[in-house]
Amino acid sequence: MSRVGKHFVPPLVWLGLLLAACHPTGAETITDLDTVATTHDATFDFAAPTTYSRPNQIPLISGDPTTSPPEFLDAQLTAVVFSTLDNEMTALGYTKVDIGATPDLVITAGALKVTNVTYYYGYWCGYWAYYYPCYPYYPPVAGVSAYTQGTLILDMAPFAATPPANQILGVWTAVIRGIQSGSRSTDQARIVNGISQAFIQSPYLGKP
Amino acid sequence: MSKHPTPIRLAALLVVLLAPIARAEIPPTLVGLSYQFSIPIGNTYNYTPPVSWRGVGLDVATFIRRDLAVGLAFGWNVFFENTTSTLNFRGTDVTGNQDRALNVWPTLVNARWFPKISSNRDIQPYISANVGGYIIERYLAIGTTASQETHFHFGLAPEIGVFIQNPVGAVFINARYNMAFASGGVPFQQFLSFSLGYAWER
Repeated sequence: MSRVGKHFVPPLVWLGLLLAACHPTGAETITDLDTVATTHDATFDFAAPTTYSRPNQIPLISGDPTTSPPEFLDAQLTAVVFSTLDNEMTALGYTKVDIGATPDLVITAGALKVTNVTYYYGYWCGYWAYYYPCYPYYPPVAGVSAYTQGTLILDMAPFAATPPANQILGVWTAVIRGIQSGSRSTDQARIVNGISQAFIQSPYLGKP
Repeated sequence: MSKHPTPIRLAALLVVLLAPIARAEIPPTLVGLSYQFSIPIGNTYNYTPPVSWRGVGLDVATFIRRDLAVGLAFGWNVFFENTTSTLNFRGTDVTGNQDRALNVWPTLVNARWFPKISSNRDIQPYISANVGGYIIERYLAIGTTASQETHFHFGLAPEIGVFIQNPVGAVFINARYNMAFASGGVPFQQFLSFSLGYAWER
């Protein structure tokens, strides 16, 4: 073989670089940025609980956990969140009860008004202390640590008036990004879709 | 009268005459460049299902025997997927518009065996065993968040191929089954790559 082949080097190298340089485009619409993340405690038996309770307001997490009273998500969006949540929980076989009826599970919800709150769980105790005994809360898995503005966070924990070790261990967390686009109708649709998706991708929830 | 008997002189003459021919048939060192496309398998398929049409390879081989060559194989294979399906990422299930990409850089040493199938070596098949490492960069972007991690994976890759010689070099095609073992939390990766390349003597 001769060295004529070396003339093939430049076009082949450029072809390779050209092929490798192709890269996908980014998001084109705001819904392209919608994200639903869920994580859970794999050791928890989600079939055992039968009842759950939840607050009736959704605090806006603004960056200062000492703000009292906190701001709340407006009533219309709050109603959409809770009606969707209740529908999903009912479909899974759980029954909503009052907090005074000693539920098996407690679900709390919060909405981020700021971006990059990396210490969200510091709010858990203060914001819902009126509703639930104040103990340090721990998510099931620290898989998500930074959220962006317009994110809805749902936390599920077993109810215990006096938790062991004085801390509440979460068993399910859903992070739903994309509920504050500026368009109420769009936000409502995104809330419904987002919460529904959180349950769709959590097949371990519910009673068999 | 000659000091050497006739048979020895004839043998010496044959060596002198045939050596260049042998070198022409089996050059001592080959360099090959190739275009590659790859079919993802297993965990690689689960992360990026589409066939990768983006890949290049660089091969260097030197013959240590008439039918055996050892060499190095480098490459770059790019797998990409845009999806809204649910992904389990380090214990968290995530759904949303995602860009997933795998950049794979194989860095392998190999041995190629060229079985003699005819006296004419213009078309020369081979079987090869590759061993070495795969540098794999795994990229994931969801919404406005992106993560990227790069790990070195120990790997193996059996390969078959054929060289088709012409007066100025050789076209080669091959199929390589790439296996990169789990590393750094990234599971076992597999893909089947096909190469079309050109080789010449150095």
